[in-house]
Amino acid sequence: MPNPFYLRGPEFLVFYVCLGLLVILSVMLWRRRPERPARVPAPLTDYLKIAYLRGGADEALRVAILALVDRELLAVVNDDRIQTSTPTVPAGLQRTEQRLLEACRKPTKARDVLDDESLKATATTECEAHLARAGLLPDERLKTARKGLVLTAWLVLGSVALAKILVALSVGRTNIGFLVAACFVFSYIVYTVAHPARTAAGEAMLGDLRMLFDALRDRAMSIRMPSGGNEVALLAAVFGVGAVPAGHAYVKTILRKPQRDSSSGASCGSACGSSCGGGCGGGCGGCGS
Amino acid sequence: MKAPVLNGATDLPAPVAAALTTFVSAATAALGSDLRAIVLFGSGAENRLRATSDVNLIVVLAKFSADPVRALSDTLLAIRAAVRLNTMWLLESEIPHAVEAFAVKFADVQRRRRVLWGTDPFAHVAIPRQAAIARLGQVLMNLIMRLRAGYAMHSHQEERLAALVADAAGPLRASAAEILELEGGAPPAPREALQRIAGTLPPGEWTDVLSALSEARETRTMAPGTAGPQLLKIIDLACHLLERAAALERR
Repeated sequence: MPNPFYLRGPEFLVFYVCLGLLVILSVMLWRRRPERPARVPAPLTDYLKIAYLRGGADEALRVAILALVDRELLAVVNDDRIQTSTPTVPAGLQRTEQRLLEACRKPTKARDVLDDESLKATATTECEAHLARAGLLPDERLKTARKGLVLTAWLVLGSVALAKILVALSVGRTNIGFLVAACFVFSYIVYTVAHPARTAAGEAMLGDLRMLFDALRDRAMSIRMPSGGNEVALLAAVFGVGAVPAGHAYVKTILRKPQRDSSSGASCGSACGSSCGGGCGGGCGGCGS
Repeated sequence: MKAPVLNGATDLPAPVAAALTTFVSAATAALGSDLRAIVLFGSGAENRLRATSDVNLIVVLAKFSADPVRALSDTLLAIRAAVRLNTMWLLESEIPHAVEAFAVKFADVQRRRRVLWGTDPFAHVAIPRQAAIARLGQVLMNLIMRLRAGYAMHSHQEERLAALVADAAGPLRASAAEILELEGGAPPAPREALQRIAGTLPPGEWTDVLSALSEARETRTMAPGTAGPQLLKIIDLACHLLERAAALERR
């Protein structure tokens, strides 16, 4: 077998692409290894934590606003603003809900609330540690293990690319652009692949929740706001704000996800895809246009 | 990775089995020694749940303590949202009173129940005959008056009439089963009991009425133009049942 470092440029690029794919495959196989053995936790029943598990702090805030509107503790004013509709904060609310009501004493653009970093931090504090302890989100130990996996993969990709670059430069060749680009592309893919938002148990939990609440989604059209229960909050938490019936379009409008660029297709894809996983269902309705 | 399902629920639809497993697990953890039994009753116990069916549970307690029950609130709200769970909270010592006060309901519980946790609290419960007959009359009279009031109010709103018909199915069927039992026969399932009684009535297109009743119960809709006439026939059917219940007192 010839020494790959002495292959000609195009042949070496083919070799490097194969190596990159092999490394990505290995990362995909190894990324779940450090996770704790799968336990079978009871299904989550707290809408805020379900929303956080599905889409992080942004999604938890979005669903919390909808839940508080459903409970008539928040009111939609002037189509794009929300305001607390109760003079005192009722007892028994979660910390994120309390902070949301405090932040909306005056009419406030929903967009500003969703962008409020301190509110996101509150939601993260309230939800992330609990979900990580339950093995549904990566904890610090798992994050460290994943970092080690990424560094190892980067070391393999980088050292092979560097060795070839040195060989090429030693014989006077400087056309290394494609190889450098390939190295960066594979490194980025490795990073992404090695950091799934949820653990395998977290994915299974979301699957169980979608199964458990499937009938709720089927009867979504008959749900009115205020629902007098947790139907709206749980529907949005499990399936996304877009799963709440079209009759509540004004709520979805104020809660739509930000567009990342002027292309509506790209925007919906990136914004919903990141938070809805495979179970978005009607959830992309919240992207707006 | 699937959570293990409660023994008494393995044959039920997966979401219902998961919901009941979750509830029983949370209830046993939260209620501890206060909990005596959890009983599934109605169509769920027969595994004849429809898309529009409620899932009905009775939680039997030694005592109702606020803190443990409060700890169950999130789970209850979630399970209610998931599978339309209705929970009746009953103290063990109250069972004789409840059975007498709601004789038709508990006669149905006696016929169609599954004990999901604990020992069967209704195994040795006897419903006094006079209480059962009196309560049967109350249930049917209440139903007749409610249906008449609904017809008077919503005769131009077919969707409301269809909902009234759908909601009448449960009490009508349970009453029919109770009548057959009080008449001394072994009662069939409630739906079949109503069919059997309708088969003994003077001719009146009862087959169509029962089909409409089933359709409304399963879909909460009815064919255009039929809800009003069928509701009136259902009132007639309830009146026939009331007459038959009254005849029980003379036996």
